[in-house]
Amino acid sequence: MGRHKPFMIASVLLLSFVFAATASAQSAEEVLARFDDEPTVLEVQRVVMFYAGLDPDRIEGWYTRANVAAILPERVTYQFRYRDQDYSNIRTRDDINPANKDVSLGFQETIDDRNTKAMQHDARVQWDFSEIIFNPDVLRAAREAGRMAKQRDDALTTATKIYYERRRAQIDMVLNPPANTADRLRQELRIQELTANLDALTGGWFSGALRQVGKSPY
Amino acid sequence: MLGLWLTAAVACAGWPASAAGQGTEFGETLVWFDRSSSLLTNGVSAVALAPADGKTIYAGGRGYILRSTDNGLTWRLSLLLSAAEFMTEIDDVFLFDEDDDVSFEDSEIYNRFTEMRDALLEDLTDEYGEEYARTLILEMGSELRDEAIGEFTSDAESAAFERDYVARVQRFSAMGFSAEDAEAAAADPREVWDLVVSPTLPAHVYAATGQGLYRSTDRGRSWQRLFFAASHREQGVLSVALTPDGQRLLIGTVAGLAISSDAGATWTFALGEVSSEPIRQVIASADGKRFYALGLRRLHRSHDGGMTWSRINLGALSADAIRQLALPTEDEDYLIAVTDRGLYTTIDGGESWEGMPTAGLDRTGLLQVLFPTESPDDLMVVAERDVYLKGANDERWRTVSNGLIGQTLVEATRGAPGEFWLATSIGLFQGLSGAEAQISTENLRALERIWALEPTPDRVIRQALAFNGLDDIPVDQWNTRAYLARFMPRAWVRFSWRQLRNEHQNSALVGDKGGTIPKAAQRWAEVRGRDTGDFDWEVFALWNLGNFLYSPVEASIESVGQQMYRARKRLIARTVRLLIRRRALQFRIVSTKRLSLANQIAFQVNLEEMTALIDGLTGGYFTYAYEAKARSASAVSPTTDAALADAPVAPNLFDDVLLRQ
Repeated sequence: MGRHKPFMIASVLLLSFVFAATASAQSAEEVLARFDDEPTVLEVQRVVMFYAGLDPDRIEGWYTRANVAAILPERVTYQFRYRDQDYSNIRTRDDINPANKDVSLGFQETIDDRNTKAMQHDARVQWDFSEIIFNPDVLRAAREAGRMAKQRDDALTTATKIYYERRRAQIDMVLNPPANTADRLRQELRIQELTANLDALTGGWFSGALRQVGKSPY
Repeated sequence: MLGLWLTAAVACAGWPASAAGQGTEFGETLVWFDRSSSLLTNGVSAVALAPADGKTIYAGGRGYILRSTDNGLTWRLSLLLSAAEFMTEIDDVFLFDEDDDVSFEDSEIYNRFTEMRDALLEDLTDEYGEEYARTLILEMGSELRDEAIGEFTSDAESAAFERDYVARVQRFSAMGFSAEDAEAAAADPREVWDLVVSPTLPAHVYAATGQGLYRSTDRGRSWQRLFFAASHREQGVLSVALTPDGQRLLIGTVAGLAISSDAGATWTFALGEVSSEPIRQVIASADGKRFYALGLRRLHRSHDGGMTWSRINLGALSADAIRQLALPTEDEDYLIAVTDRGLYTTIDGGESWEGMPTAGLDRTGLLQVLFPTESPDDLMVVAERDVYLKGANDERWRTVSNGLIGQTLVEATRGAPGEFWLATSIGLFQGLSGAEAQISTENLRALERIWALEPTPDRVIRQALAFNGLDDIPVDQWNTRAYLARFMPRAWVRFSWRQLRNEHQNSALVGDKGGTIPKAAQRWAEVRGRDTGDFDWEVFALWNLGNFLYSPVEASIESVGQQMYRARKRLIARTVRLLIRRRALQFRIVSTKRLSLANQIAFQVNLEEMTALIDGLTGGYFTYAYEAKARSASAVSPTTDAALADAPVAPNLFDDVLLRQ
């Protein structure tokens, strides 16, 4: 996990010609080199961005999907109906001729028995063709893009400030070693506090990265 | 703005060392060097040097006083001005709880909100008609409120950074404050307005601050507050003056002029008009008997050591236009006034004023006049952007601003012969002449090389916009498409398929017992079956003809477009500010000499931090482009990376940069 090389190039180049005292410049480099194995600020920014769900690629995805979405129907309905009907009708007739009892149709029964099955499939597909030309959801995505830009700037600025506040505290501890235990604890506590702040912004990733290189974050 | 600054920066970087500053009548060059190092990353509003010391310097800024005992090489915090105890009252003046809508209605911000809303409503009504405009305003209500809060806070912040007290009062008044509130808020409890070292006791330092008068009797190691008023609103001390014997103290406060004859133990407010307004400057004549007090609205004079005061009739001059008064000689009737229209002088104690020659002097933003030599005819003028010199025999003013880039100047003070100290919005500068004034040509060339490798500001801005999705705001395209969309109907297709199965139908006639009709004839049966299937479909189309007259989507497009333009404006301003600060810091590094190891590291960390902030806005582009160019500069032929850094604007380079680590 090397330090941020471009910064080094710029800064070292600048400082090397500014400060004639070579020994002093080397000392500055030596001091800063102690933190080479820690996560770089760009790595921290990247993790903060993803952890906070502020990745700008999301916005691009929203635009694309909002434009394509209208090609698909906005509503599809399907209805299925099934009817099973049994019909049974029994009629009973008994014809009696009171004048001539010898002639009779007798008892008569008519049975009418029916069974009907009906199935119906109904489907409805609806498009809003105006949204193929212009989908208002694009506006929501755009509004969100503006909001996210501000949130991202806030989050990354906060993370960057904390990162360098921590680095300054580390450097201070190297350049001005604490004279007693109380001072040492105070300085260490300050660094731990800033580490915890970075952890809060990165979901614990920062201290995990420190542990990976064998440093105890707390 | 950026272009101008860069032109100036490059011009400075390209100076031949021998031409850095023109020769003056004093026979020397004058170049400004940053002496604030990393301790003074904020602006400096007041500076004072211990007389006959040459090594001890005090610098005050918003919230702090710093002390250097090695002529500006290293600095230590001397006094920290916390505003916490004053904040409750300040809150009452212009802050409110954002969660409390009632407070919002009562706040100054609400006025800002209603003004903003009304102005926008008027504009939109002109363009779209009242009904539609009201719809738009309703939709933008909460955004306008947020914007009003943001603007108000930003205005209050920027007003608080005006060095000039009058300008602050005017800014707060324009924001809707009453005169009393504006005068109190303008004093700002964190501000250091004036620093004075006792002429007789060099270990004694006085600091006029927004929360009273402080004094140190041990060269700034410890401080005690000498003056504080009963009300926080009258607490601010804007100026301090001592009689030449150091016995009598006069302070200009927000509530008027107060005098102490017992080294600050007790205070008495002067009688009369001089105690009816904030006093911005108090100056004493060489004999310690005559004083001038420059108020917010009037100029006052005392002939008796401050006991009684009378008002000076300024004629055509207006007191609130005077930025500073100076007494060039022991003649207490000879005054120079620096105003926003030029320099004026009087030889009769202010009864009549005459304009001074201004050839070569940009009269806008004049702040201060001081005397660079023992001769009262040699003058130096500090303006917001430049420093000017004029010798007794010169006809024109000459600019002596070499080394000052991008900052706002505040005030200067004279040090050893040929040496000056200048407080600016970004720190403290030392003006040197002669051999000391030479910036190493090698340093400047190296800086030029580094700047050539860095991505150009316009490219950084484009990348910042692209990374944040604000590079393209297609309002016109949206409007066109929304218009065309009205012609397209909402349509639906209905499909229906029906199937009927009459599986069987049985009918039977059954005879029961004997009758005359044979049984066989009495029976019949019928079995029937039937299947049917139907398929049909319909197409419907629906147009909303009302949309041809008014479509709600237009309001949304307008609203979103305005939001995005505002976000874009904010982003560009922030990116430009960071770029300027970063380059100013680089220039500070090359113009700073004799840095301690701690300060070297501090500078480097500051530079890294600023670069990281720009990277945060551009998705790592700044570093990516620098790295690519640096690689191609060291290679025989340009690499693909360099072409990428120059040509397209890549959206998110965090991963690319990290992969190279």
